[in-house]
This record gives sequence, structure tokens and C-alpha cells, in this order.
Amino acid sequence: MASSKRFHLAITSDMSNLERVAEFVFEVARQTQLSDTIAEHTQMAVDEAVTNVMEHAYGGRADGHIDLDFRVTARELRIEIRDQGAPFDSATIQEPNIHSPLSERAIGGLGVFFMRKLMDKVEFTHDRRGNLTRMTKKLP
Amino acid sequence: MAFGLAVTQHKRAAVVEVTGRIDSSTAPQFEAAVQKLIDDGHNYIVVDLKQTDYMSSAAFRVLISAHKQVHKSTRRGDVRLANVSPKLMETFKLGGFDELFKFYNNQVDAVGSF
Repeated sequence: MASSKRFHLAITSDMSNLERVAEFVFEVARQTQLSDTIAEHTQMAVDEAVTNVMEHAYGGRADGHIDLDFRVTARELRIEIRDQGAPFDSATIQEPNIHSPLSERAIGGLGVFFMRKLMDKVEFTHDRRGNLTRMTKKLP
Repeated sequence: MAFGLAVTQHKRAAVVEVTGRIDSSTAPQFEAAVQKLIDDGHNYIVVDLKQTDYMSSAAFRVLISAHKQVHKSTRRGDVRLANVSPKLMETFKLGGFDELFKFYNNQVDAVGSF
């Protein structure tokens, strides 16, 4: 079995932590020698995923708990984001039509759209322990 | 880079210069600055992104909302962008915004375009 490196970050659902999350992603990328492009794509997908949790699971509350776990192998990067907020299913959020003119563009759904474009797999599940957002990126 | 905003008003257009990341924690400040211009009657707006290297969906929501409002106010109303880096342009392309907004290499050209 390929060796893997694991990284963990625990934060509260305060929006001001988003910058810390970005720094964490770039630090993981540095330590595992991911390319700049993969690092930037991952940072954006994680930013959108954590924002979803802050806005939808915790409804803007700043004291919710969020755990980020990264596992990096030679083949892939797996990210798990756990929260204990209200159940939400981003899979049901309608994707925006990116070909419609600006004046007709819907305001919502763009964050999940970006996550799906930037990562190879995005899953949302919910169990007794809370919500789990899982994203996978294949590594070249 | 700490987040910051600078608003200047020219004859042809109002300019919002953004410094730092626009994510969900900073987008409300960006939105407030743009909304104030719209509420004050400005329909020609330039957003200068020279000092910005990251925009999340929250930033695009502000731009879409602003564009809808100024375009509704007058058909010639528009939100135009200056100094978008190649890296940031990738995000515009990802969301399909590269063909919807007008981009200029510098602020003077963007203001002059109105």
C-alpha cells in the first residue's frame, strides 16, 4: 500500500478563519510538493466547501466546529470536512447555467459548481456525527 | 495581504480598487462598497483587481448582482474590470464569466471605455 501523509486542521465556523484554511491548504501542498495549479484549485474548492458549512450547516454562527482532514498519497489527495451543524445537501443545489447572459445569471450554486469543476469527485453525506463533505483530486 | 478597498469617482465612472483576497469573509465589505456606489446613482463602475489574486464564488455573486442592478437602471450601465491577472482570469473562465464581463489592461482604459 502506498504511504500517505495526513494533515488535520480544526477551526470554528467564524468566517475570518477562511484565510487560515487557505494557508493550511498551501502548507499541505508545500509539504507534499503538489504543483501550484493543484494547490490553487484545491484551495479554492476547500474555501467553497468550508464556506458552505459555515453558511448552510451553521447558518452563519461563528462557534460551530469544523474539522479538516487531508490525506495525500502518490495517486490522490483526499479531503474530508466534518461539521456538527444542521444537515445540508449541497448535491441538491442547482448548478448555474454558465452560458446564460449576465442579466439572467442566477446568484446561487456557484460555489458547489466550482468545487465540482476543480476536484475529481465531490460527495456530501450526513450521519449521526454530522455532515461530511468529501473531495478527491487525482494526482498526476 | 490585508484586505482593503479604495473608491474613487471620476467623471466617466466610479472605481473600486480591491486589495487582497475576496472570499466569503471579505466579500460583504466589497459588496457594501459597490452597493453604496449604485445606491448613490453610479451606473458605470470599474473594479480594479490589480492587488487581488483570489476571488471565490462570493466575489462573483457581488459582480453579478452589481451588473444586474446597473444594467437595469440604464441599458448602458456596466461593471467593467481592470488589471485581472492571468491566474485570476482562469477563475473567470471556470465560471464562464470571461465572455460576459469586459476586461481592460489598466484602470485608465477601463474608465475611458465608458
